[in-house]
Amino acid sequence: MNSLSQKEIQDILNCAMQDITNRMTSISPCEHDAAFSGDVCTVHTTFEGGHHATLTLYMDMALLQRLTQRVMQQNQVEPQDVEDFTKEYFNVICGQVASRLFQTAHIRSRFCIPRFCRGRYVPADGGARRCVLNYVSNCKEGVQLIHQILPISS
Amino acid sequence: MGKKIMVVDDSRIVQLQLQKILSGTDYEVVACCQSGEEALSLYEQVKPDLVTMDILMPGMDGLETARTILQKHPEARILMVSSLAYDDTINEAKDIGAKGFVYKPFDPEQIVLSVQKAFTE
Repeated sequence: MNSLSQKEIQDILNCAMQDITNRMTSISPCEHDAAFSGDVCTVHTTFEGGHHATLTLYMDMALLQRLTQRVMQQNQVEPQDVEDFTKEYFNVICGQVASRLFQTAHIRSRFCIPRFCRGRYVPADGGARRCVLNYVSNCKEGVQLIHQILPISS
Repeated sequence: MGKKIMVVDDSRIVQLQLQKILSGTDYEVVACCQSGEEALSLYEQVKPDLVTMDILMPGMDGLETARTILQKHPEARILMVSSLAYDDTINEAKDIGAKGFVYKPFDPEQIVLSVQKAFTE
């Protein structure tokens, strides 16, 4: 059951994104149209249970590299470190979204293990309601969070 | 030697963070693993004083893993450390017998305090 309005979903996503990014990295993303470099990556998951949707995050690689360095407190980070950090960062955002869905509308949901890939991966478009949030970092790197309600399979 | 801690989390970043936070305290991370199945077997080898347990992991999830460990070892101390923190999962963790629940993202102080509390209860 997805009984939330588009505005409510948008607020939940935005609060989770702002809160977790700030707490994990001490960076406050600014809501603004995202301008991406050529080097981006994607991390995505599917929500199941009472909330059937996909959540996809695109981010500039330079930003992820910087966030990974900050969280690991070291300048030298490997691509695997960036991937591991990105999956954990997104995992925590998804956890916050699931918690807020429950607090706001008593919707019980779980999400699948986040998947990471270099480049821009576009999940299969089967959804009707799509919500897109754009951000830029303090160094003008782009971030885009896309939420898409999926049809309930019979 | 400090109390032995086993970290169960599929994120290597979290494993490193917990090792860093607990180094220099009365606790020592002696083993890490990334899945529930691994945790069941590693628990028997390591016999840790406390396990930190993520919930969402590939294969067996953390709640099921905690339940299985506590059925076999009712004296086990398990501290849930997860981003999936809402009433249902927190209550389930309590019912299983977990010693506490730390929400991700965590502060170092929260982790140390929760570990301390798990040993005093």
